[in-house]
Parts: sequence; C-alpha cells; structure tokens
Amino acid sequence: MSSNITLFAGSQKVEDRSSAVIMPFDSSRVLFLSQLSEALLQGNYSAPLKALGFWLRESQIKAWKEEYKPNDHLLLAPIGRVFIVSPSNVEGLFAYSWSLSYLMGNQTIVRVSAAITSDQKKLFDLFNLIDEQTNGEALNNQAFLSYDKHSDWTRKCSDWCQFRMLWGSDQSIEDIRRVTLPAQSQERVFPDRYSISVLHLEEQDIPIISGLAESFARDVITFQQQACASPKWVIWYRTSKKIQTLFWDAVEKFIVGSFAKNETFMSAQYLCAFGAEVERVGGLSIVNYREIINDGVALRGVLGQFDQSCISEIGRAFPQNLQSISHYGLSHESKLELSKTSQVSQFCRLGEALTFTKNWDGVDLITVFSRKVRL
Amino acid sequence: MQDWTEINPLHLSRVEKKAWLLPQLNQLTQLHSENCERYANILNGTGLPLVASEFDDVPYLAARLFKLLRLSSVEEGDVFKTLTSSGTTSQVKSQIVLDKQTASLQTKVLVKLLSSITGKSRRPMLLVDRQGLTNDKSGFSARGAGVQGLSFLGRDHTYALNEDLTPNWERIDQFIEKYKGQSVLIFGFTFMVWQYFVTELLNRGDRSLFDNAILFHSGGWKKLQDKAVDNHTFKSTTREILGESAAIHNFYGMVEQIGSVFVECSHGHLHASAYSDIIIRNQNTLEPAAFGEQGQIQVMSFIPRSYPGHSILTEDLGRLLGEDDCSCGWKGCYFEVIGRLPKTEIRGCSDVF
Repeated sequence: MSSNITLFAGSQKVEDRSSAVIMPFDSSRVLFLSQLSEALLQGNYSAPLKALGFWLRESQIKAWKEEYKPNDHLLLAPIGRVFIVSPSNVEGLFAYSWSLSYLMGNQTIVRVSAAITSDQKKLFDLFNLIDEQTNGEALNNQAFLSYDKHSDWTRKCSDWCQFRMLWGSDQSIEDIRRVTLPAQSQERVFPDRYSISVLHLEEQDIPIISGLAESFARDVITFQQQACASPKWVIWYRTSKKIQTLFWDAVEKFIVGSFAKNETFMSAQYLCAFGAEVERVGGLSIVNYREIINDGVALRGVLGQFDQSCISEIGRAFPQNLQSISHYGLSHESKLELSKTSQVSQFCRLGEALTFTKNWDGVDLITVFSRKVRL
Repeated sequence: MQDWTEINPLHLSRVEKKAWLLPQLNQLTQLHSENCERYANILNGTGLPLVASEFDDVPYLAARLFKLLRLSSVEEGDVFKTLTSSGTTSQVKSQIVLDKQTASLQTKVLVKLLSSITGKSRRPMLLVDRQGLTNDKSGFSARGAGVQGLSFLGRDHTYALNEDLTPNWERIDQFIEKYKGQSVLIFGFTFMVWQYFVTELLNRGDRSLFDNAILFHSGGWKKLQDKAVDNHTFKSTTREILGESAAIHNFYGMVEQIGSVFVECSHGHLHASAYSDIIIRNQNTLEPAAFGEQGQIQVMSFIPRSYPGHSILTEDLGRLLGEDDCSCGWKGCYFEVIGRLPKTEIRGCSDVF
C-alpha cells in the first residue's frame, strides 16, 4: 500500500485477493482471540479493554461456535473481503466488529482515525505482539489502518471489499456512502442512535433502589452519555413521584463529580430553551418535558423525564433512531408491545446498556459477517 | 436614570455602578424575556428571577448556547448583521444577532471607553490585519467587528498586512515615514500583532519608531503561550519596536458581548468599566468566588438589546484581584484571565472520520 496510510497492525498484504480461505471458528483464529482475551484480562488495561477481553473469552467463543455449528442443511462460510470504518473514539468498538469478522474467516480492513487513543495504541501493540508469536501468520490478511479521509482510499477499499460496515454519525455515513459499492457487495451501517430508560418501580423495589441507581449511574457516566446506547431520557412507567425522588436521590450519590458543572448547566439550559423545566440540579440536571427533545445536539450531564402509564403511548414517544431501552420492571408483554410500536433494537438491564453483544442494533453480527450456505 | 454617555467609564465606584448598571441589566432581562421565546423559556424552566437585587442574581446564559441556538430578540427583518465567532473551521461558531441599534451602541460604547484612554483627538491608525476584512456583512467575524469598532478611534487607517497575512512593507513604510516620532494608534489581534508585525519588524531591525504610540490588542494568549511568549515579553519586545513610551493595552472581550471590553491598565490588570461587570464563579458550584479564587468568568453588559447576551457565563477561567482599589487609579473590578475550561473529552459514537 502507498505511503499516505498508516498501518497500526496487521499486514499490507491484505489487498491480495488470493489468500487462503479460512472457515468460521477456525482454530487458529479462535486461538488468536483467546490469547488476546487472556492478555487483556490479565494485563494492566482500562475497564473498556478489560470488557473486550471478557467478551472474547474462550468459553464465549466456544458457546458461539456451538450456537452456529453446521447441520445437515446449513453451514456458515466467510463472506471474503470485509471493510470496516469505525469511529476511533469509542475504545475498542472497532475491535468488537473486527473480531467477529475475523472469527468468521474474513480478510478485513479496518479504517480508524489517525488520532488514536492510548487504549487503541495499547490494543494495537497487543495485536502486534501476539501476531509476532505466530510469525505474522495470524494477521497476515488483516489490516488496521488510517488514511486521510479526503484521499482515494475509501474508494479503493470499497472497490476491494465484498462487505462494507460503517459506524459513525449520520453525516459521516452519508459522506462515505457517496462512495458507491460494486453491485455484488453488501453493506451494513450503524448511524447515530438514541437510547432511553423506561423505569417501572414500585414500593416493593425500595429496598433495592440503591443498587438500581448505581447500575443506572454507570450507564450514564460511561462515555459521558455520548454513546449510542447511553440513556438520555427516562420515562417513568406507573411509578410514584415519591419513588422517583428516592431513585434520583440514590443516583446522585453515584454520579457526583462525573460531569463538569458547566456541562450540566449548559445542557439543562438548552433543553429549557425548548420548554423543559428543571426538576432538580446536582451531579446531573433532571428536566421535565412532555416528550423527548432530541435534535442531535450532544448534551452531557442531563436527563429528561416524563410519566406515562400506557405502554403503547411510550412506544409512540420514541424517536425514529431509537436503539436501546435500558429498563427495570418491564414485563415480557410490555417489551413485545414496545417492539411493535417503536424502533427499539435492544432491551437491557440497568448497568448493562453499554455492554456489547453480538446482537447489536438489531443485527446478528456473526450472521452479518458470514454467508449462510444451504446444503 | 443617568445616560451612559455622561458616565466616566473607568471612574465609577461600586455603589454608583450598582445604582446605574443593575437596573439596566434588569431591564434587559425583562426585554429579552418578552421578545425572545427561548430566553423566556430558559428563565421559566430554570426558575431564574426577572429582577435581581444584586449583580450575582442576574440570570446568565451558558456561552455555548449561542453556538447551538440562534437567540434573537428582534424580528428577522430587523437583523442588521450576524456576528460569528472566530472559531477554527472544525468548530461550531457562535451566532450573534445584531440590529442597527445594538450594533451602533456597541461601537459608541467601545469608542467612549477607549477614547477615555487615548484622548479625544483621533490619531493616525495602523491596523495589523488585512484590508477587506470588514466587507462581508452577512457573515461578520469577531475579528472584523473588532477592527471596525476600533477604527473609529483613529484616522488615516492603514492596513499593515497583505491578503496572505504577510507584512505589506510598502504601506507600513509609508505609515512610518509619515508619522515617525509622532503618537499613533495601533490595533490588532494579539497573535497577529506578534507574529506578523512585531517579529517581522524586529527581524528587519526597526527600533523606536514612534513617540507615545498606543497599542490595543486582544484575542487571547493561547497561540503565544505555545510559543512561550508571555505578556511581559510581548510588551518589552513591542516597546523596542514602537518606542519606550508606548502604552500597550491588552483587552479581554468576546463576540458574544462586543463593545463591553475589559482593558488592561498600566499595572497589567484587566478592568471592568462602568458599562460592564464581571463575576467569577466557582467552576464546580457556579457560586460566586472570593477574590483570588479561580473560576469561570461571567460577563455582564448593558449593550445587547437584539439578543439575550447581557449576562453570559463564559468558558474562560479567571481570578478577581480586587475592586475599585487598583493602584493604576481606574475603578471597577480588576482581574486576570487564566485560560479556558478544560475541554470535555469527546467520546462516544459520535465520530472523527
């Protein structure tokens, strides 16, 4: 490849279209990912990287292998050449999608921003270390690189790939999509998403309210509320004001100092400009409004809230780009109803909003990175 | 109520200032709450009072709101020009909506304030910027507004830089030749004055060019700090060029409140004039900070009538040094600017592609 790109890990040979075909869950690839997992879990790494390590543990991979094992009618085969564009500012996000592409036996080019974070650098260092132990065999048809977005590399990679996956803002995705794909190639995009919490707390939940608040606070604090799955609004489903107050009192203890005062102040004023009213101010600003205000502006340290006693009305209040509902107290039937009336793609328990799963944003990534071959 | 033109801008004591400025600010809060729906919503939604009995209680908007919202208290048809901040291309710029009345008041107040330092006679003026900066009314930059506002203080305006910001030696030399040994007025943005004027003249060997020159400069020290140039170095080097008698005044101001600038006195302190005031707020609580304590700078001005910017919480950090007792003789709060609030790290699924 030419000199105007930076290769962080992997091999420049990735462009070679004639590399040997590797089937999904090949032992060499399982071994690489397991070693990666072990190193992350045992080494001195940040919480997000440890989470990646935990997600890629060998027992998990084995469970997936079992789940997707071939039968007399169907087997999984690699797509072939995969091109992933990932934002670099969620540490490890590229690694989640790449590892599944890798596990499925694909050749993969991952484009990250040139401004890599220290966590990403550590991760690439680890990739290179494990790769060296295999004499470069493990990553010889994988590439983690960066290039100027104005260069023609998006075009080259798009021409090269059989499957393109884009993570980013709506604007970035629209920009990249101007680079068309060959007719035979497929694409999957993960644009801007919005996530909320639905909480249904009753008297009987008061003894565990502190634990719920701690979990909720973790979802809010992680990535400073800027991840797609971070809750930005709370909808109270049949929950008394008294319990709401107890909940916020408890959340305050876990959130204190997590957001800059200027951010919570500015964010609350922003929402109030549209008619919201401040309910309480502390480590977080809580504002009331009759509906979700979501115009794409990134706010930190603020949560909007309103009450709703009809589950089908809740679904109708959600924005079109809804992704996650972190919840407490929703019944199976309520989830079915919300799935019907909104664009929700994942429900999660409090404290797990940011936990990556292979079923993400409505898509089974293992299936996406492979071909289902009918036998 | 006393007319602002009758007030000596740098010699109003705290008590007199409160009697004059606080009612002005209360009036503006009322005016904007009646004419800017979003502002009224913010006051209502955050439970802020319409009438303040102390400066500390005057409602204030987060400066960044002007980047996210177009906040206007006038009909679109009455918009005379829209100012934008000089943020870098990747940043969202502030939008400040001006009608004729506010634009005119900005200039008049600026001239009244600065001419109380320069004296009433207009001096020959060298502008350390490029010509044509102030032509485009629709997207008027803070730099353009600054140059235009200050130009009222001088005569025979000479622009020192070419389009590519290199020195226009022909014009500079003509200016020097014409006014050598005389008292001239010079204005430019701090970094540009240093980079494109002082350094260039220093390299050329120019020394002691004028007698009693006055230099006003503004725009912040960030870029010069990167070059390890502090205010002391700036002043001493600039005096080598302009002459030892040169009066050099930095001033602090922002696009959100053009006109109400905070000028540096002969003792190196920035002063709030009679037309504006300043509060330092603890950055963790937003409560008013004590003298000497670092915090976020809130600025207040009686000028903004076309947009609700009469009281703004900036993202600058500063420290109050005293009030009405600076040994320079000027009244008002005096303070120093320390820097910017640390940028909140951008993390999340927003992207950097």
